[in-house]
Amino acid sequence: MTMNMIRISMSRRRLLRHAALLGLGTPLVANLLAACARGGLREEAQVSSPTPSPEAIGPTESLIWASSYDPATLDPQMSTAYVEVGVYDMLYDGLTQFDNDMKLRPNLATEWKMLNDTTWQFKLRPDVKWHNGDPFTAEDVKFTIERSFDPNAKTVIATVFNMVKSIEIVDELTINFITAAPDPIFPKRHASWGSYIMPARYFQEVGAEGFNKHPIGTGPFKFVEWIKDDRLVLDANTDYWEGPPNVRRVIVRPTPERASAVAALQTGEAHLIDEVPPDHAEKIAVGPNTKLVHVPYAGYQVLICNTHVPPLDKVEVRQALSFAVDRQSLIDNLLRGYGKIPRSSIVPTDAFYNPDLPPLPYDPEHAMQLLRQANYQGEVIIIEALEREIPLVQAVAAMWAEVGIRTEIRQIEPAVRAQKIRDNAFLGVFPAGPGSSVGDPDGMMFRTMGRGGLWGGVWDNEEFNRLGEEARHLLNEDERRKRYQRMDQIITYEAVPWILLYQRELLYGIAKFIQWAPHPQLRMNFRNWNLSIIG
Amino acid sequence: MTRFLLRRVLRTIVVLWGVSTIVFVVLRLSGDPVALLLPPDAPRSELLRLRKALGLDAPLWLQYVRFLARIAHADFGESLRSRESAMRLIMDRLGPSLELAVVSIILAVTIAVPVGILSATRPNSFQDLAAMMFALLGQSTPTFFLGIVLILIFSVQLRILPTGGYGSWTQLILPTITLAAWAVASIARLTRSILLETLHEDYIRTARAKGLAERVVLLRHALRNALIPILNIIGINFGALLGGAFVVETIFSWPGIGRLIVQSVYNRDYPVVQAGVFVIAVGFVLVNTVVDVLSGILDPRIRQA
Repeated sequence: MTMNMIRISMSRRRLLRHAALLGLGTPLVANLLAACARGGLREEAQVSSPTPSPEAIGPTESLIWASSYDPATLDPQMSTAYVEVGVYDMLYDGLTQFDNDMKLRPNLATEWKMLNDTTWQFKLRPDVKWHNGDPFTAEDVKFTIERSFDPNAKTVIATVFNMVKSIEIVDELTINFITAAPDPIFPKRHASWGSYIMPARYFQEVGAEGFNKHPIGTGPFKFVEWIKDDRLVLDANTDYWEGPPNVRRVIVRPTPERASAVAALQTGEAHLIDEVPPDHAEKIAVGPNTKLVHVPYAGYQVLICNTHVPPLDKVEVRQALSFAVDRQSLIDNLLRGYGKIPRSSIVPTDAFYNPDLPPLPYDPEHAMQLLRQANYQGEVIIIEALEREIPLVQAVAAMWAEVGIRTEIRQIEPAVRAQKIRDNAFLGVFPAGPGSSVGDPDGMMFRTMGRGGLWGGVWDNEEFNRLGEEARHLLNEDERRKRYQRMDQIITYEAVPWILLYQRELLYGIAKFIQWAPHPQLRMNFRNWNLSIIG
Repeated sequence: MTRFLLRRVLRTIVVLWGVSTIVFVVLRLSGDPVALLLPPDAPRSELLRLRKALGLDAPLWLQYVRFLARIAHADFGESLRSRESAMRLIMDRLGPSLELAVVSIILAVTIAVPVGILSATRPNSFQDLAAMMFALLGQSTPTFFLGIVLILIFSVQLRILPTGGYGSWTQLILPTITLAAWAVASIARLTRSILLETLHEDYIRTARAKGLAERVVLLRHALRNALIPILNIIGINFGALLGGAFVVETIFSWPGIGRLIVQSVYNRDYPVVQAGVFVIAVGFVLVNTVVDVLSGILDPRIRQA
C-alpha cells in the first residue's frame, strides 16, 4: 500500500554484494539465518552428530514435505499455484503427463490420435479405479473437461480447454474431442496444470464443497485428512494402476518460513523442502543427512518493457537494455550459480527450441552505441517490482547505470502488480517469471506476449501476432517450427519487449535416504518410478 | 452495570463497523485478487470473465452495500482462493491462536510482574539494572530474529525441541517464549515505573508511618493501585498477541489467525481478511471489556464513574 521509492545510489559492486547477501526471492528471515550461519553457527551446525530425530522415517513410512505454503483448495480446477499442483499430482491423474524431460507420456489415456483436423480421439486406460472403488470411465473425462469451462463452476482454468467445441463418448473407454479449429498441441494440454480428471459420479453426489472436504482421484495417493495450515495427510494408493508408491504416507506440512524449513530438514522433521533459498543450497548439499537436487525451471526470469512509455518506445533503447545486462554476474551473485543464460524466448524443454543459438551476449559498448543511435538523453526509466524482486532490479539498474541509463525503482505489492497487468498500466519496466504450461511456445511465448495475452498489451507487433495465430492451428511441425523460430527472433533480438535475464534452477533439499528427481514445471511426482527410499 | 454493558455493546458495534469499512475500502483500492488466482499464461479476457463471475466488477458502492447486507447476517462470504466460508477458515485458526496467546500472556505475566516488583523495590540496584537491561533487550530484539535463533539453538543444535508445527506441547514451547519475550519487556517496565511512582504517594508514607510491614505496604497498598495500568497493558498485549503473532506463526508454522490474514492480504482475499479483522476486533473489545470490569472491581472509583 505504501509505495517505496528506492533511488539508485550504490555502486554496482556494493549492490551485488548486498543483493547476494539478501538472496534473491527469499524471505528476509531466511537471509538472516544465512547471515547468521556465515557468522559461525554454520560450521557447528554441520559437525553436529547425524543422529536421526525420533520422528525420522524409516523406509516405506511417512514422507514429510515442508511446503512453502498451505494449499488453498484440493479442487484441481480451482488453483494453478504450485503447492496445490504438487498435491494434485498425488491425488489425481491427467490423460497424459510430462516426464522429467517434459516429454509427453501416457497417463489415464493409453493412446491418442487425430481422426480429422479437428477431432482428437483418446483411448482410456482400462481397469482404473477411483479411490472409492468406482471404475474410471469416459463419463468422468467428459464431466471434467466440461466443468473446466462451465461459467457456473467459476474455475480458474477455463481457458485450458476452451477450444473444445464438443465431446463425444464413443464407448466407456474411448472419447472424441471436437475442437473449434485444428489444435496440434491438444494432447499436451491434457498434461498441463488444471487437466486433472475428476470423478463425475462422486462429485455430483457430494457437491463442490463436499468434494473439497474429501476429494478422491485416481492418483498414486489417497486423501486422509487436512488440517488447514498444519498438515495434509495422504496415504499410498495400493491399487494404483502403475503399482503402489514406495512410501506409505505423504504429509504436507506447510512451513512458510524457509529458514525454518531448512532447519526441519536438518533435524529430520522434514524429508523434502521446496524453494530452497540459494544461500542455503551449499549447506544442504554438504549436510550429513541432506542432499540438494535441482533442475532448470521450464521458464525464465524476464524484464518486460511497456513499449508505449518513452524512452522505451524506441527499439534501440530496449535492445540496449538487453545488451547492458551482465547475466552471468546475476546468476553468480543472486542465484549462487544455480541458473543459466537464456538463448531464446522458447525454453529448452519446449518444442521448437533451437539449442544452436548462442547465449545472449553482454556488450556494454554496443549498448552505449545503440543509446546514441536512439538519441537517449538520460530520461528516467521506472522499474516497478515486488519486494522479493528488489535485489534483482537493483542489480540490473546498476548495470544499466554503467552505460548511462537512469532508473527509478518503485516497490509494489502483488495485488497492485496484478491490477497493473490487467490495466496494462506499468510505468516502464517490470520483472516477470513466465513459465511453460504445455511444453510448447504457444503456451508460454505467444499466450503471454501475443495480442490479448497476459502482457500482450505492452507492445504491438503485427508479424509476431500473425505468425502466432497461424502456428497455433498448423498441423505441420516444420511449418510451426519456422514460425516460432521467426517469432523468437522478433521478441528476443529485434523488438525486445521483454529482456530475458536467466533461467533459474529449482532447488530442493531432500533427506539422504530418498531418491527423487524434480520436475522442470515444479510438479511433485511421487510415483514409484520417480521416488524411492535407499539405504 | 447494565448501562455500562449497554454502552459497551453500542461502542463495540461502532468499532466493528468502522474497522470493517476501513478494511473494505483499503483492500479494494489497492489491488486485484483475480489475476493472482489465474494461471500465469491466462489471457486478459479470462481476467475480466472471472472478475465478473466473482462479482468484483460491480461498482465499489454496490459491493459495499452487498457487503454490509451480508455481515448484518454474520455472513462474510466465501474465500476467493479456497471457495470456503471465510468465517469458518478464520474460526478454524482461532483455537491455535488463542492457545498461543493465552499461554504466552500467562508466561509473560508470571515473569514480568515479579521482575517489575523486584526492580521497583530496589531501584538502581544491580538486580534492577540487570532486569531492565534484559527487558530492553527483549523489547528491541525483533521477533523473527529471536525465533530463528531459538530454532538454531534448541532444534538444530541441541535437538531437544521441534522446529515448528502444531499439536503437541513441545511444539508450543519455542513460539511461546518468542512471543512472551516481547510482552515481558513492556509489562515489566511498566510495572516497575508505576510501582515506583505509587511508592512515592502520600498514602504509602502514611501506611509506613502506621508501622505496617514493608511487605504489606508493597502488596496490599502499592501493588493494588499499580495493578490497574498493569492490567490495561496486559489487555492491550493480549489483543496484540491474538492477531499480531503472524511473524511467530510463520516462523514456527503455527496455524493461527495472523498468518492466514497476512497471507490473505497478499492475495487480496477480501472475505477472509474481513472476517479475520472482524474476529480480532471482537477479541480486542472483549478483552478490554474484561479489563474494564476487573479494573472496576479493583478500584471502586472506576465502578462508580
